[in-house]
Amino acid sequence: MLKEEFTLHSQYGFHLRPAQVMVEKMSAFTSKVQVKKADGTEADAKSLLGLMSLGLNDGQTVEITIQGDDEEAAMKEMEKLFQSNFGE
Amino acid sequence: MKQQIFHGIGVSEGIRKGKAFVYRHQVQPDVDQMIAKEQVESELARLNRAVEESSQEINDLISQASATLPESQKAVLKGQKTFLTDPAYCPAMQKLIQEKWYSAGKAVQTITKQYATTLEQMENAYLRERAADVWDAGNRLLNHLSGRHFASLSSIPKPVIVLADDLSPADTIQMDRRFVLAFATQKGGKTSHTSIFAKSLGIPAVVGISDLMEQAEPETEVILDGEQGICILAPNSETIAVYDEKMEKEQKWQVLLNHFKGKAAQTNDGKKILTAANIGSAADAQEAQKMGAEGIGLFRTEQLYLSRKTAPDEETQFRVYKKAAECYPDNTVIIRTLDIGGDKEIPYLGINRETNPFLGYRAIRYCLGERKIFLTQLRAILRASVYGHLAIMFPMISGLQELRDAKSVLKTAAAQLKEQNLPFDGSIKTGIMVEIPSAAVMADTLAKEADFFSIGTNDLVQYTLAVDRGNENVSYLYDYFNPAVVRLVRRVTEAAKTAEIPVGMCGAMAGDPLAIPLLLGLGLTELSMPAGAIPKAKYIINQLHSDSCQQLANQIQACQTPPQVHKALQDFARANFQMDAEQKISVSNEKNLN
Repeated sequence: MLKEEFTLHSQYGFHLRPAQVMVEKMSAFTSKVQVKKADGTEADAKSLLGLMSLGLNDGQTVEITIQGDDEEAAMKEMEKLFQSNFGE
Repeated sequence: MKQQIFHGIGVSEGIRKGKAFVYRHQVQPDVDQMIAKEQVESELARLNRAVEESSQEINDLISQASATLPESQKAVLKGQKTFLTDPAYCPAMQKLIQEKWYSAGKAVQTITKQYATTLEQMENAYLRERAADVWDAGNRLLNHLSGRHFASLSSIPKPVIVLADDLSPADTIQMDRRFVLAFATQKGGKTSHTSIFAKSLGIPAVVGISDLMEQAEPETEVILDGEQGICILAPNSETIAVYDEKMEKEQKWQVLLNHFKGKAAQTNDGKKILTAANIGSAADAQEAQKMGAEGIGLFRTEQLYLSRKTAPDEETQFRVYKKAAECYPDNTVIIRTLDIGGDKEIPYLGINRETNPFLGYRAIRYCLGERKIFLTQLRAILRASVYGHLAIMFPMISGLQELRDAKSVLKTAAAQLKEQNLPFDGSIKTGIMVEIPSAAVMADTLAKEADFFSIGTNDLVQYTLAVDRGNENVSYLYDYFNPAVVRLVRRVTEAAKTAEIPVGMCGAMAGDPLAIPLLLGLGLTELSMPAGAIPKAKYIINQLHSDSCQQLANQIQACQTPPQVHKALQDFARANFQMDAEQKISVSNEKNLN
């Protein structure tokens, strides 16, 4: 199981498009990917509804937990997503 | 059935009579029910079947309508499909059925409500709007669970008046518009989807009618009056007679207005006023032509930049401007350069969210800061200028320096094209929007370096009176008939007259029948308005005499308060011209028909 913290840099918050990008990229992996906010609320990174409901804003930190056979590759992809600000 | 009169909010004008088509949308058969343990399996199967049917239905809708459906509406449907396969959506419903013995309907209702409510409370406006898509997806599932089909609106067999609880984007997509005479809904307000949809298609509509659906029966006779906000079920013979007469008047009025579509807007004494249209796309340009537009007074280019991931390139813009130019071989098409700011969310433009976007980094200020984006647009306009008569208008000019800076970027664009041997109209006219009070005050100076003025009343009113029209606590102050605004307009027209440059108006005031005589009296030479308002404006101008308009303007110059201005204009209208179907046509006006 891998665990890592990321900070969101997206001036408009985690709106529909970044959430779609995350769902799309993470759905390619078989591992279970969870996104946890500082207040403890969690969402499945493969669920658009779940991610949107987190209501993440610019500058907030999240904890990503990935568990499964391809967890390393998935975490690498996740790092890329946050580094590129979800391609914005 | 006895006659029943319902009152709601009229959101789209017009009177229609027809048979009711009752569209019951939110049928929730078992939303409160629990099941027995033995039923879990069959209930899961019901849910799965509803999910499959719903996805299939969405696929069908997308493929059926792929040619006619705008991209935005396709996105709505695709979004619904994403929700149906979301691991947090249907699996959560299955869990409720298995563990809490909820009926399928109750499970759908619970989970849909949970997500939609969460989204409705979001700070981010874009996420808030997605709540409606989640409700749509949930309602679709409920409809399939109840064995009813969502598609019923697509199978309307004859002209009808649609009565519904509410109409979602997914509903209106399916509607066969040829057969929808009007609609009435129980929910909704002035800015709801139904209202915007009705207005854009010119279908009379009344929304927000409480208790409508309890009384609605299919095939009942219905009269709907979109202006008064009235919907009458099973009208009696007296009511029918009254409305038949009204409809006849309205029809005659329409015939009269249609007659003026192709005519010039000319006063009794032969003074011509250019009546042009405000548009937002090349397709609008064609539509405006049918309404009798004499050119385009305002081409808002923002639409080109919205809902995209990157800025539209030169080629894309060139094609759009060229198409608009070609629609009007004999008239000018005025293209306003990008007027955008922090109130719109366009990630690639890199405008930060601001606390006061209307006083912030927007319009010409943004374009002068982001030369690359500005240069691309100016190059595209210049290249298209050889296909017709284009003119360039800079928005939100607050003083001379901005106009000079904007013109120097235009010069750079022209020099680049020259070097590349690309043709363009070297004498293209460049004008400004006068919408900031400082520009109105300095109009005499600006008139020396601008080729034309166009007064944008929407912003001029907001900035002059320091009032946000969207704020209900102060919106009563928003009034273009405020004497301060009228005096500023006069200042601008006088400066234009001295400098001998054309002066037009492209705000909401320009299309207001009450304002037209005043504007003529103030010396405006061009009025630009939504295309639908053109025939009426032409008819009104044809009833006026420029001397009396001038007298009216002088009289209003002395007014001290907005009510005095309103009263003067209303008195003038009653005495001098006809502006709606109810008013009697005086003998002197009938000669205009010949």
